Amino acid sequence: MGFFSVLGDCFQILKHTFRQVFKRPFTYFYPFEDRIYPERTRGRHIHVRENCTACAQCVRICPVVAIRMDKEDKMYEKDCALYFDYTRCIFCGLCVQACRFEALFHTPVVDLSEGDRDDLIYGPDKIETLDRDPLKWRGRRFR
Amino acid sequence: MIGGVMLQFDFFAWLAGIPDWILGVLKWIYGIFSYVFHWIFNVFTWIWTTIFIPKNFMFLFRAVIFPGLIFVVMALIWAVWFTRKLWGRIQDRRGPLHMGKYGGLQLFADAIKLIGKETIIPDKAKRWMFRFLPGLLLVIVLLPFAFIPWDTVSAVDGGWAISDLNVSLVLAFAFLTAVPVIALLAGWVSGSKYTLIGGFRAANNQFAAEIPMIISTIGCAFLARSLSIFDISMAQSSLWFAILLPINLATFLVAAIASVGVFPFDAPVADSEIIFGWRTEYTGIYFTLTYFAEFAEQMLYSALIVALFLGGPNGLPFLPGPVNFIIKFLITFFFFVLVSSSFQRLRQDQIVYFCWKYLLPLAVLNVIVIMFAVVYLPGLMLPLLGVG
Repeated sequence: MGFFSVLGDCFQILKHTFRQVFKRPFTYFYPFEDRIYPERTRGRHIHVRENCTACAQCVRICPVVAIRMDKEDKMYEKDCALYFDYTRCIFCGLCVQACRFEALFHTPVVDLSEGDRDDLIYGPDKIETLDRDPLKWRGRRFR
Repeated sequence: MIGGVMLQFDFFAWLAGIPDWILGVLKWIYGIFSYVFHWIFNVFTWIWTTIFIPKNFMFLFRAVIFPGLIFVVMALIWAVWFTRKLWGRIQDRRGPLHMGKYGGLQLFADAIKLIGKETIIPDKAKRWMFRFLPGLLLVIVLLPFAFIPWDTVSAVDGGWAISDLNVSLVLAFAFLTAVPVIALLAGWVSGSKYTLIGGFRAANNQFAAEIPMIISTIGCAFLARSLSIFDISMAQSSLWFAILLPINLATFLVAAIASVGVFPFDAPVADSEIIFGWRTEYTGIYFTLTYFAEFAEQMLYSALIVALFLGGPNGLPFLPGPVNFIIKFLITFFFFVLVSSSFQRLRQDQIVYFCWKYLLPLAVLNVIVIMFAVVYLPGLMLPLLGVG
């Protein structure tokens, strides 16, 4: 019955490809749609200035010296400005663990690439918010 | 005249005659020009009056615009897009998507790119044939579309079918047989070993697939008692031949795929073995022509399947014939692409074994079964065929 088993295999394959037509593609259309990252992804940080006490535990624990602190820049009573150097950061999460005052968190945002190396040093204007400039490419705007 | 002799040549009279002479020359030149002009103008008038007899105009319209050339080329462009999109879907990708909505303009971008590329003709190529063959290939593949029965009303009665002959099935196969010959010739005149191997592989494919393909259509011709594609599709007004000849439908589909030379029978252009088969040396616009010809051939076989097995323009009675035909054509083309994207490439000898050991007996089997059915069960069969 070799012929009929081969024919059956052929129809199995055809069934599979036919189903495949109506499935969602595996690839993401990246700049226009991003995949859903898990909630606890260690992406870029966000600094909540209201809760910060300028205790410098994050600066102290950071194994790659990626965080710099500016105590002169005060918005509230005893907070400070943080500068994150993402050319150095290894996303180990120790700074978030070290923060007792719920002032520093990771976010699931991981696409950090920039055209300029200096743009990867996130100053207080970028580290305190998730908003970012829209990216324009080939006349189209995304992000 | 005093003291003189009368001149035989009257100078002043001659002088006075010059304007008349010039006028005569001008009239003569004007006569030549007006003759030529009227001749050309009459040709135009003749063409004009001929075209604008409604019957002639509709024939021209059918041949050039709607079911004819422009429609087929538009459908071809659509088919390339559809094929790429469908391949993408089957392989969990997205297919073309950047140019236009859902990548619909991708083919135009590709065509512009390919046309803009340099045309390289190898030193060893026979130049004239090398330039001539791709265009000939596309023409030969597009010509049989004239015999596709797009409508239930024949061309003579003003329907949308373009034209018909009483041997159009044979003629369509005659054109389609020339395709691998052109592939072989193109492989030969390109002057490269890969193209030559690819050309012979194309010939091998045709050698394997043509006889099962033609025998698969014998059943339809028997049942319709005609070799005209239009008559065959008209004979299916009560019952599609796909119901009586299901195995022949399958064998025709597989043999058509083998004859076109797409997956899994793409040995002629096997790009991992022989660079791009018989199309290796073609660049730019010539490559575009061969690429289009391949898709046009797939479309032609899909249309033939619809006309021979799936009732042609017969279908839902409230829809016009061309719409019925095109719906069935789309579904058939979908399955054509689906089958041709499902299997791995077969080796040369496997193609021949497969076609001769399995397809040919199966095709003959169905023809024989239906012959016995017509002979021994005429009470059942003849009313189904609309004869009894």
